[in-house]
Amino acid sequence: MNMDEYIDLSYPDGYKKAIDSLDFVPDDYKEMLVDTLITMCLTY
Amino acid sequence: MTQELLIKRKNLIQDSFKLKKTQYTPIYGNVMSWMVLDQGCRVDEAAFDFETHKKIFKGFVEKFNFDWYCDYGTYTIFPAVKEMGALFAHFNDDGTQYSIADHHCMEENEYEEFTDNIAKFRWEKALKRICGEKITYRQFYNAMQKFMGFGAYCEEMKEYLLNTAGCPTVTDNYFGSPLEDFVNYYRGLNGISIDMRRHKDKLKAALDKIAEKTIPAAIAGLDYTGEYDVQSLDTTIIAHMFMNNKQFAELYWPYLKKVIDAVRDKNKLMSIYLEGKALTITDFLRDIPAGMMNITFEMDDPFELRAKLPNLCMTGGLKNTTLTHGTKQEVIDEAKALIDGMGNGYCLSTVKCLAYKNDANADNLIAVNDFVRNYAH
Repeated sequence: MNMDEYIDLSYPDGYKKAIDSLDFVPDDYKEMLVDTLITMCLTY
Repeated sequence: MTQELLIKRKNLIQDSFKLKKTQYTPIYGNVMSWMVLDQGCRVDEAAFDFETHKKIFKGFVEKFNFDWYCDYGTYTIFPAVKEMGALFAHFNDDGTQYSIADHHCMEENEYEEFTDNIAKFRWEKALKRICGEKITYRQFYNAMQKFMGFGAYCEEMKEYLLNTAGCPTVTDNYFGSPLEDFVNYYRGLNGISIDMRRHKDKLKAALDKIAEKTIPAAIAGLDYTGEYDVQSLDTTIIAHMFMNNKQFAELYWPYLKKVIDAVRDKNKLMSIYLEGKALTITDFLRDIPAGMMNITFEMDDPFELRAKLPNLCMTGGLKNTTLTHGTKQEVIDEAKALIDGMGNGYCLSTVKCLAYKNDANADNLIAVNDFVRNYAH
């Protein structure tokens, strides 16, 4: 994956691809952590 | 020794929540960014450096010796948010304080789209509006690393409190009432104020949709209370400050009531941080069974609130103005009057969360904490 490429902000394909790119996050937690990170962005 | 202190404090706080008599009145550290200033640092630097903030938090805990704490430095989430290209938090020029401007990422004509698929709306619309359209995979990757660093920082501070300071912790099971979430994440204060009047039915449908996920999650979380968490559920009520009681009854209370009922049914304890004046919503709280809830209050007359809600433990009451401008004896006298007047089911704390430079005088805070710990009511 080219890390300088822009994330695809389409749902669900772009969302899933972005989640899959986080190779250091355990699979079971990926979606929950991404959703929480988005929430933090929307809040702060 | 630490373990003994930890158990003693946990029992002390929980007994207060249950309205039982205690050896002394527990002291709650209702403190956020003031701790940074007290330790001689700038908030805009500490927020972006976990190692600096660890030293700040530990130095603060050792110095003031509260029984439990509301926060380990929530603002250390900012690096992750900034990496994504967002960050509404704005620091003042000398780095002593920050504020978060009212903002929104959803328009009033987008309710159907939002309610139809919240996850899709967040990814395709909200994130783009907050962070811009050009988020690289590298940014996303780095932001997640920083976000997980924030999680690791919080866990380390919890371990420090439990194993070194002998302080129980607050639960991770936080319930954001759907309307609070909707204000904070999507429509902002201005937007929600309009929508409660113009789009009440659509707003209710959106809140119902949010609640489909958040209420079951909060109820499930009740079964995973940490061994040394003082309560099993934590929530904050802010929206009552701009809602009338009819709006609160329709758009707020039914969701929170479901969670409160679950806490009652599972025989657990919960806390509500009640910003502003609680007296406007005492009618909703008076029927809650005695001994299951603590409220941290701010602007109310403590004794008037106690008379109206004898069923709840109350935390707060000590005026920041006395802490900042009074003598040690005046602060101690005020604390003594609160402890004597509030009786069982009371924890001492300040009326406002300590955030700004002049929110407290450190010497007065040390003096009052020492006094309370040795004062049996």
